[in-house]
This record gives sequence, C-alpha cells and structure tokens, in this order.
Amino acid sequence: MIKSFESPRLQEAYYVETLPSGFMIILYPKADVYQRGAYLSVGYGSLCTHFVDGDGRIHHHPDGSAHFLEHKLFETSGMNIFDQMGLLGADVNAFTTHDNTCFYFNTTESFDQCLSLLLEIPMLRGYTEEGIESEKRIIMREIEMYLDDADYAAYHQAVSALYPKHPIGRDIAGDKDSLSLMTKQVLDEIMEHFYVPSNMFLLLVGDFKKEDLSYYREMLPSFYHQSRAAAEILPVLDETVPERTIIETAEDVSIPSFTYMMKLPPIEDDYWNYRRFVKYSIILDVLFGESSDFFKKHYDAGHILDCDVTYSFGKGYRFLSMSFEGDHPMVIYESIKETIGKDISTMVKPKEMELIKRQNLGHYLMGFNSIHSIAMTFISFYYQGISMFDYILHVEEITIDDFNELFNGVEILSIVRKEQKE
Amino acid sequence: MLQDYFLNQPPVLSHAMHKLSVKTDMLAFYFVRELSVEEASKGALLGKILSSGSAHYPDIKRISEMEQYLYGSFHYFDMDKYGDNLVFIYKIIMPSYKILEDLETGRAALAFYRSLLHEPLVGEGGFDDQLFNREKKMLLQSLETLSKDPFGYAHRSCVKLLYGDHPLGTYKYGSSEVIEAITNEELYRYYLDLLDHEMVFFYHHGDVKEERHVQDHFHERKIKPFHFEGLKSASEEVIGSQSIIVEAYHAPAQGERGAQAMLVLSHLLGGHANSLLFRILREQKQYCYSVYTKYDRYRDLIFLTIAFHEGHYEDILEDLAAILHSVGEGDFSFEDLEMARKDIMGTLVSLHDSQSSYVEYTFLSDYFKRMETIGERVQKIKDITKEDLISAANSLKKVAHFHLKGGRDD
Repeated sequence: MIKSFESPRLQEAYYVETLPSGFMIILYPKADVYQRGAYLSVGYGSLCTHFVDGDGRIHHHPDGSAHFLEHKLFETSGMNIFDQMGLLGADVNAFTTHDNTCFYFNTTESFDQCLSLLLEIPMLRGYTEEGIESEKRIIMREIEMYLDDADYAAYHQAVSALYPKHPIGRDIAGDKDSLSLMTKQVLDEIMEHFYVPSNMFLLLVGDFKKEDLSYYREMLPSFYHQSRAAAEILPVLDETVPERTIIETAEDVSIPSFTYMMKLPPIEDDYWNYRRFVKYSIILDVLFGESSDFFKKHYDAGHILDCDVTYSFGKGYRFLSMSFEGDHPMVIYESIKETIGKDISTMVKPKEMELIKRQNLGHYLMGFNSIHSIAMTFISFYYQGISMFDYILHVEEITIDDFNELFNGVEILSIVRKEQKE
Repeated sequence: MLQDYFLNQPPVLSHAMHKLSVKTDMLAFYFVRELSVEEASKGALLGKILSSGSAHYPDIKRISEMEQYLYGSFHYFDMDKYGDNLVFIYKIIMPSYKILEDLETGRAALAFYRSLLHEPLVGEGGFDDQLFNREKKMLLQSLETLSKDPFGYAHRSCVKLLYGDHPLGTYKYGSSEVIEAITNEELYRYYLDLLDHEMVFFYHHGDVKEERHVQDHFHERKIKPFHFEGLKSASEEVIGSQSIIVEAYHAPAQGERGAQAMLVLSHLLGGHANSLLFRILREQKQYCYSVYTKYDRYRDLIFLTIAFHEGHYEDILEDLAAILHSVGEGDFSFEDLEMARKDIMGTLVSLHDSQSSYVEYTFLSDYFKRMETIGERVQKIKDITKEDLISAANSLKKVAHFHLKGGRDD
C-alpha cells in the first residue's frame, strides 16, 4: 500500500511503499527540474560497531568499518559500478554518517540504467583482500587531510576527550590502528547482517509522477523482496568525565581555533530527543547566534570572527559544541560559562523566540530548492525518527517555558594554538 | 523589474528568470571593475562594511534580527574575478513570500536590502569610524586565517609564483598590505563611484515573469595576455601530515573549439572521480586521497592539485610526467573520453536546477557575449574528439610548480 505525505503549506508531497520484506521505496516528485536522483540508504553507520547477530553472537568491529565498506562497495572484478554509471552520464557518490551509509547518483539521462546499477551494490561483494589493503592507504591519506585542518582538530580533540569509549569520539573514517584491523571478514559480516532489505530504503527525487512508484517497485531485483532481519546494534554508554577541562595543542596556525563542548546525558526516545533538538536549536541561536548579545559583544571587541554552534545527538550520546576562531579563547570560555549559568527562562524574550521561529520556517522552506538538499533532509530526519514535514510543527510548538535546565553537563575547551617557532 | 529600485544607473543588462521549482527568490548584482590589487582590496573591505552596519541597522545584531524577521533571508557581498576583470557582487536570497503568504514582509525585505546598499552607516567624510576600523581589522584577521586551509594557501602561492605582481595574479580579496593602507575617505569615494558605475548586470531568479533588457552600450572586453616564460618553482615547509603540489600548465586554446577541448582534457585528467590521475595516483598507486585539475579559461591555465605523503614526491612527479606524455600520445580509452564529456555535459544541464549556479553561468555568458544556449554548449562538448584532446595535451606547458612540504608523522 502506498502512503502519502503531503504538506499543503510547503506545496510538497512524497509517497512511500513498504514491501513485505521491510524494504521501502520513497518517491518524491519535483516538477520543473532536469536532474533525477536515486539514494540507496543502509541503516549502518560509524556508530554501529558493536552488535549482536540473529544467532546471539556478539561482534565488535573496528572503528571506521562503515566508511571503509562504503569505499569498497563500488569495486567489482570488471569495470566497477562507479565507472559504469559515470559512462552513462551520472554524477555518482556515497557518504557515511554516524547512523547510515548512502550510495547515490544524480543524472539527466539514462536514469533507469543507472538505477539498475545502484541497486546491484548491496548484492555484490566484489572487494578483494588486495583491494582492502590498498584502500587502507588511501583512507589513511583522507584521515591525515582532515587532521591537518585546525578547526576539525580542535573539534576532534574535544569530542574524543569527552567520549573515549563511545564511537562518537572517533573519526567516521577510523584511525591508523582501526584501519589495520580491517579485513574481508569484517566487511562480509557487515554485508551479511546490515545490508539487508529491512534495513534499507530507496529514495527517488525528481520529475516523477506518483504512478511511477509501482514501475520502480517492479524494477527491484529479487534481493529486495527477501525477508531478512538486521542484527541488533548494542548500546554503548560512556560516562567518562575528562580529568582536564582545558586541552591544548600547538599547530602551524595563524589564529587559534577552539571548540567548547558540553556533554549531556543521552535521551533514548526518538520523539523526545527530537523535541530537545528543536529546543536547543532555538536557544543556542538566541544565546550565541549573530543576533545575540554574546556575539555582538565579542565581535565588536574583535575576540571572534565567527561562531559555529551545533547540537548533536544519537544513540548513547548528546552534546553541544561551539567552534570559534580568535585570539582570546579563555575570554570566550568565561563568557560562555557566564551566559549559560544564568536563568535562561528570563533571558529569552517572546520577540526573540518569534524571530527565530520565522527564521527556521524560511530556512526550512529554502531546503526544498534542490533534489539533493531534499534527499539529505529526508535521510537525516528519517534516522532521527521523524517525518520531514513535521519539523516545522515541532518548532511552532516550542514555548519559552521549555527552556529550563538545558545546560547541565560535562564541559571541555579544546584549543589548537599557534606553534611557537624557535 | 527591480533594477530601478536598487540602482542609480540603468544596468547594462537586467534579466528576470522564471523557475517554478525553487522556493526562493534570488537577486544578484554584478558590478564589473578593472582588475587590480587596489580594487580587490577596496571591494573586499566595502563588502564587510556594508554587511555589518547601515544607517537604520547599525550593527550585525540588528541586521541579523531583521533577516530573522524576513524569514531567514540572507545576503552577501563578495568579490570574484574573471580574466582581467574584477566583479563586486551583491546577492540576496529570500524565501518565497508567496508560499509563505506574506507579501508584506516581501516588500519589507526589498526595502531592507536596498537600504544596506544605499544607506550605509556614515560618519564625517566617510563611513562611521568605529565600523570602518573594526571591519578593517576583522578583514585582516580573516585573510590571516585563510592560511589555515592548506589547499587554498598552496593554490594562491602557485598563482603568486607564476604572476608575481602582474594584475592577473591578484587575489580576489586583495592583499593585507593594501587593505591596511586604505583610508576611510578613500573607501567612501570608491563606494560612491561604485554606485554610479555603469557596468552593472542584474539578475532576478525565482517565481518571476521572464524578462530581459540589454542596453546599447554593452561592449565586449578583451583579456590582456600574459607571457609565460620558463618554469617557476618554489617550495615551503609546513607543519602538517600531508604535502601538497599545485602545478599550473599553460593551456593555450585555439578558438572556441580549442577551449572546449581544454575543458574536456582537464576533466579527463582530474576533473572527476573516474579521471586518469584519480585512477592511477589514488586508486592504483595509493599516493594520495585528493587529486584534481581545474581549467581556468580566462587565464589559459590548467591547475593540478595533489595532496600526498611527502615520501612519494619523486614518484608522483615521475608518474605525472608519464601520464601527461601518454595522453599526448593518444594513450587513453574511448571510455576515458566519454566519461569526461558526459561529466561536463551533465554538469551543464543540471545548471538549470541550481539557482546560484545558473545565475552565475548566465552572467558569465552575458558578460563574455557567449550567446549560445546550454543545449548548444552541450553539443560542442559532445563534438570534441580524441584528436582534439591529443592536440590540446601536446600544447600544454608546465609554467609553475609549488610544493608545500608536510611530513609530520602522526
């Protein structure tokens, strides 16, 4: 049966069909666009390293396994799928997040042929021991590239100090040690236990009609009709409190990069987790966004160039982070503590709330401009357990009374300073 | 159209473009200026000042509050350069007030964005002193932080090495030394001159009636030639795990077909994830994660960038030379050529779907008087043959090699 999701307010709609195997096809028609996109998402990401399979066996996989497999799945014995799709004119790519791996293409021609190739990916295991060894060297170069970025280094240093036992504390790509543990058996086990129809969905976005959904359902290989359960991911809790609140390293940077992070107790219920996310998005904007007193004070004083504030959450973790560039990390640190130490409910004025709600509505609407941003929003909301059209309802329901006790957690300040040369 | 509301002078071109699928309206103003480090520095500083305070919205906080009220609309002032021209850009992106059913706020948005351009925060003889001094300091700091991005730093260093003080080597935000020396009065004069400037292009993209006006005095500009002499090399040490090489190859195009052939050649070498350099240097040899090329049609150059482990430096240089030689010998497959062509053609067609890219593409076509449709450009790419590529590859000459030496062992 096809379920319809419509938003008259946004003038958008999409349609979902779930097969008896649990595999879902989502068709998102978008008129007046030239490209069509297909996104095959697998519910296996960088945090899924500990799991129990259907026989009750517990597995511990190296950090970075999901990302490693993503790299290797295009490999086949002949011309790889990536090249075959490129030859058909498709723009092909893949990405790994904390909770999923996604393979996708966008194209203006030969859509059906490209889709057939995309659908083959979970069915193939073309990777070889030799290919796996080569890939380790390539991914090590990728990790080095990230670590050469001072902003990322400051962030990574903070999150790994707060979560030394949880995979959120490690890079999505893993590290030198975890890469060395990657084997064909590890990849086979992931394929066996997670690349199963009930743990995957296909999202099609572009100039389609609702009726096309049945056509694409018919196109699916028999693999997608097999009823197979995915393994169960084991929760990881990390209640570590770092010994030091301030950690510093020296790099070849002209101006320090620094990240303030606060670790908060995890929330397991999707609905409440999401409500919290909306709440933090609003309050962090009020307190630290460009229209805040905090930003004005420190920008005018030349303490910061900009301020990037995010709230992150998922299975077993929840934290907020603020990243800056500027010469006065300690001034900012003290100012953050002072700001969040106040009674928030008296600080947030109804007018500010309304302004931020209007901004949220506009930004949300802007996210429907392109097929890729629609797909990214859909996938991200899906794994957070909410429907993409419900976001704005959550925002509108938030009231000032909801902002109590939001900043009660374990904090850390991570600084990447300029190296003193002799 | 809105150009009369925003501009003192009629623009040389105004173009309203209708697109139903987008949920935003974009207004884009391109003020075309001569390319020089002084112009670039002044434009960069002016953009910061206009963005950070105006007569009615005297600081970032007020501007930001107003943009929140306007449902998160946003704007930016930026600089870019094409050949021997510099462009001061003002872009405004607004959510569709029709969909939001709030046309009154839409009118407020236009008045607000006009005021940012026309009613700056002024003081005696120039901009407000405090605003001027603060934004100058912030711009200088921002330029300093650019060196944190090793790829951008290596690329700018390669361009500097190649052009020295010639205007074609100008960085789009000018230089710290020149910015430091700009006075408030000078910048204000520059601002007034910019507002009265004749060479302005205006675009409106979104749910708008299609309309296009071109003034008579629209004229073509010639790109000034630069004479490349020999190979310039330099290296610099950096604290980082990876090394980066940026090389510039003189890529003289013989006419329009030659330019399209250079574009395809650049793509075949390193323009996409199936390209020759990607396959050989990354996938087969595992020397690097990132390798790519970029064709700069306006300066007749192909830039090649590789991030790698220092230990592979000599091997990479050897392989690079061998790959370029083999392409000149025609040693590449039909599939290589076809993937490069298809990748470019797909990108061209999909320009229709991106508001910002389509507006920029249209501006460049208008400015350089390339009056062909995207479909016609696609056909030109389709027509490029293996022989065209061989000829293009044999005309390449390496003119600059910049090596940023990393080597920290983490």
